[in-house]
Amino acid sequence: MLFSFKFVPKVQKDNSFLQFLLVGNPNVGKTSLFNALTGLNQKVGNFPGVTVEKKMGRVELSQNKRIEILDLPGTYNLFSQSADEALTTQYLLEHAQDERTGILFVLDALHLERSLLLYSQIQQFSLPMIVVITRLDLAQKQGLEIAVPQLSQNLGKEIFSVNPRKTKGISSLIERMNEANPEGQEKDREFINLLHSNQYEPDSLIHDQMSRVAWINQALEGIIHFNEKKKTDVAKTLDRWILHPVAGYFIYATILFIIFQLLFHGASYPMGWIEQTFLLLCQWTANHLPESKLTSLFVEGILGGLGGIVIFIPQMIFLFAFISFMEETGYMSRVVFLMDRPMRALGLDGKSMVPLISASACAVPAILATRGIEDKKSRLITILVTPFISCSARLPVYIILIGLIIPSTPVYGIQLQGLTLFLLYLLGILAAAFSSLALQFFIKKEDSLPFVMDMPGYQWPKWKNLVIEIWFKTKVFLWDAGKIILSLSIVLWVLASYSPDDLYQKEKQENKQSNAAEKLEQSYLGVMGKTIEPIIQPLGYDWKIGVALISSFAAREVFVGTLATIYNLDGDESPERLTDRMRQETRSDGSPVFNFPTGISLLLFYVFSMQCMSTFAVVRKETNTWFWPFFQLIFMFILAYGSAFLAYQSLTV
Amino acid sequence: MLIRFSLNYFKQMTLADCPTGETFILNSVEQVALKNRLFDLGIRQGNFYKLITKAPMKGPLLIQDSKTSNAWAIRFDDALFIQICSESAKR
Repeated sequence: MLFSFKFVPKVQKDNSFLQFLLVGNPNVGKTSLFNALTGLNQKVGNFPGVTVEKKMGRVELSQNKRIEILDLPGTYNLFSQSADEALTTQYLLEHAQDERTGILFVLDALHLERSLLLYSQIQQFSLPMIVVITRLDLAQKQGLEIAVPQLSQNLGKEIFSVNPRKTKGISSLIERMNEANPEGQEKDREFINLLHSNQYEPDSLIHDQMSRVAWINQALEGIIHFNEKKKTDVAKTLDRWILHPVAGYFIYATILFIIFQLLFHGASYPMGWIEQTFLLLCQWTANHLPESKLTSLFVEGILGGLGGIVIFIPQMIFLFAFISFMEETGYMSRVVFLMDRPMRALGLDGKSMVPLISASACAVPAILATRGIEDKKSRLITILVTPFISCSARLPVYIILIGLIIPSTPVYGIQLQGLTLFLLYLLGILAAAFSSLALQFFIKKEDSLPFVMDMPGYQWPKWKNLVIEIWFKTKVFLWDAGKIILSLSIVLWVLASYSPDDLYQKEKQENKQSNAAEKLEQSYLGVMGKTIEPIIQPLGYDWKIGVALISSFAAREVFVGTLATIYNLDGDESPERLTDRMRQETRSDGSPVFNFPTGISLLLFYVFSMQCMSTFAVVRKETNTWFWPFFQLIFMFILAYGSAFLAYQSLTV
Repeated sequence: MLIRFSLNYFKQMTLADCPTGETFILNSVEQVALKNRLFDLGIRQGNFYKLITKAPMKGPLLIQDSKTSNAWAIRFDDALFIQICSESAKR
């Protein structure tokens, strides 16, 4: 039999823990508990060897004692089917021998049976364990009364009742963690070896489950009392509308429309403030530092480039807030439910909705989120089409270009700029849909896995959790994007300030009045842009846009930073808005560069093109082959070039 | 007589065939992987559930534990492998 407990005392050498692994089923309030324990003392990284997000936090127990907590991905069973869940098993196996690692196990009051299934497996590692029970308040609302002291007695383990959303019971839990000592139990080698071997048949698991069920039933005897009078079923009432075959889709479409309207206009005020602050900073720096190449590099290269991306923080915050809000309230699961059938027609999975919606923030975590999709074919197609969804990095490009070519006046109360942004997102969604429709005929189908999903109850989000989530997502995005933008801004400044035959320097000495645009044209950057000009000319782009296109192959948002750097090089003492500068930009015949056809062509190019090194790297990692990332890159480029070409040529006729 | 009454009262069918709003007992699951998945998520044979709603065009089904109100979504194609006993024959 696979399942048996063996308790043998063992002598420990050290009684202090270095880390606690936070383990439990998905959606049981693990992250809320993690946030309540660690606050902002968190860092986000990756698990070694894989790209799954790893959240670590620190709890200060006393002046000289602190403990690290690692939030492991939620799992139902250590013999799991999805890649995400398998990681928890792998991590536990790695730490099975570590005597300075403890487990902080989260029992879910709403699903005690299945929580105890995982608990029974974790027990067999015999790592020191502290057990907490969460969501007692929600259980009460469902008419469930749980006798926690009796459960504690049945399990032979102290159980802490905590409500991380209201920070109840957290201080006593921290005290317990401070006092925790290694308990010293003999590990169930048979079970651990079986997990290690990864060779178990689904049939054999049923026998293991039966023995666990018997134990769970025994442990839960007389623990759960049901009180029909106390039952309130808000979810049922809300689901009547939210999951309605017609109204449900209408509500979903309306929510998305409102989000994009707010995204454009709600964020415009803080964006204006940031823009003004940056302009003042540039002016102040230029006035107070001595005139030199270094000052020019700092003001025009570094501040100019960074300013182009920092301004979009409010929009990113709005976007991350909406996504987190939908997840926290339980609405995201309803979206999965509604969209499963349409998604399946495209060769995807209802669970593909989570990565696809997350992709509107960033494709990298979205591709990582595909690990929750058990079906391999659906997962691969989701990975391949996810970059079509317009991410927050495309947002700066869209906003600049929309601001240039679409009037800001409302028509029938609808903001045209917001509507255009919505249509661009819709276009990305359609591209993802049609691509997956085509891809499902080329990718071989493997045995499909069942689709059974928990439907969580509705709950009001905990604002602290939302703020922490938004803070870390924005920080990670800015840090990652900032590194690339800063490096590229410096490189671009150098390339734009020097020329191959030092013509720029010569000209500067001979004719100080020479045009800044001419200087730029003769620089290294100009030469590069001019080299690719014949290829991009049919799309309506000049060599300056070409330079921005080249640099944005590293990351899309670099496009804006590059343009900011390029258009700041004329030494104009009074910096103007980038959009104004772009609007003034003319071709040799005097016509504006950024006219309607060029703007639409550029927008379409950015809707369809891949242009993100990080996404490319993650796709390589997740598919474990070079074929799919290159296929994706080339396929998306052809689509981007083709649509931009068609749009420009047809609009200029 | 009692057996005949029981057979009339509880009708065996797959979950996919179950009408919306019906309360049923989960009888058996024909696929091992599905059986394991249901087990992991806390859906047990012999328990009472209610079919809350069905997504259009043979989309997923939403079932709810009659007692606890915990709910799950199950894909229509998977529901074809789940045998249930429902009260529908009575009507």
